[in-house]
Amino acid sequence: MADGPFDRAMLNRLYRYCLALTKHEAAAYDLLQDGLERYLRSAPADPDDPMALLRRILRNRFVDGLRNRGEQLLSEAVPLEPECLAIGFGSLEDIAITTQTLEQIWDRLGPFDRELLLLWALEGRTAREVAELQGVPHGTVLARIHRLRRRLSAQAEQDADAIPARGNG
Amino acid sequence: MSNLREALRQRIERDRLSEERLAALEALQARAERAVPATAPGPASTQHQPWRTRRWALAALPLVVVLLVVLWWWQFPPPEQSEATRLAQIADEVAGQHLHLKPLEVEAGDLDQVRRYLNQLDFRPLASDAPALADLNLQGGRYCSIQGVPAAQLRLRPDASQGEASGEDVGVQTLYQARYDPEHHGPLPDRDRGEAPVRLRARGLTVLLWVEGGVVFALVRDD
Repeated sequence: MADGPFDRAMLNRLYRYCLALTKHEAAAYDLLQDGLERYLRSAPADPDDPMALLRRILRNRFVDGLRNRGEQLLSEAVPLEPECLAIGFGSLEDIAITTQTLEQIWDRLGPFDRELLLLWALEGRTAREVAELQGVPHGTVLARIHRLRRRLSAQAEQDADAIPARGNG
Repeated sequence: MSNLREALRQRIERDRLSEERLAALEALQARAERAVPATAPGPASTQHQPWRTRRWALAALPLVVVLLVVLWWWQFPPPEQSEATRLAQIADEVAGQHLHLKPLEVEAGDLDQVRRYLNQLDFRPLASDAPALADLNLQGGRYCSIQGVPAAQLRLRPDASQGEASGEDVGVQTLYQARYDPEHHGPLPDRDRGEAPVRLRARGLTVLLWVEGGVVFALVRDD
């Protein structure tokens, strides 16, 4: 039985969320610890969804940190392209990728793209739910998915071309 | 090759909290649980919370407008002030961490032991013969971050015999170390070139900043 609202599995899920935002282990742990302290101080006694509430606190603190350091939230403002309206997370389902390629791309993605992929792949969120959490228009999330799909597909195609070449060599 | 969703799941779920960190977070929750009966508001007060929040929000509106103007100015400061602002931000962050000290993750008086624990850093915490660190004894350390960069937080205590002899209670000092990135941290005095640390005041504390061996040092003390 856990002492407090978050058991070990939940803490690990939240840590992975922080890691997606910060990319660094120490910064992720600091963010989680700070967010949890704030949650325990100020959250209502019995919130409907403690995970969602703490995740929102963590995100706000991360964004505040970026702003305090004068970093621009570049991926917060993605122009909407017309073709994005017809697609969503479904467009990512058919992409096949190698572990090595994913590792390379993951490290180069911005925090909000990593967050988006985590929410989709691990938490099963829809684009609309992600938009709500990220506090951006639904269209912005669709545009971001579209951009990610282009990037991931291009890399996956390169992988597919490379595999037979390696096999023949 | 595997499906993107599955590949992401495997990649992300590979990361997990260490046993020590899980225990620390559980202890944090347990402490808060014990504190709740004394501090939790009753049902009547929580009922009125949304109304109070709205009233406060209205009252705070002019303040928010002023803050927005200040933030705008802060986001685009005059070029000659941005360097000082950057140093002040670092000083403010480390002073804030010093005021809200978190439990040590490793307790040791030997830097090698602390280094062995902090082995995930992308630099090696250094010993320094800076005069500011003379007569300070290492108590232990923990991971932290400065300006979003992974860092070591080392806790130091003045030599007990000296403190007692002088009748002073100078207390704990905190030394932060992070890999020096000139673009990120800006120019800082380099002890390897004989330059003296820059001294700032933040949150009522003194912060000394310098670079040594490619590592940023930030010492926070109460004087």
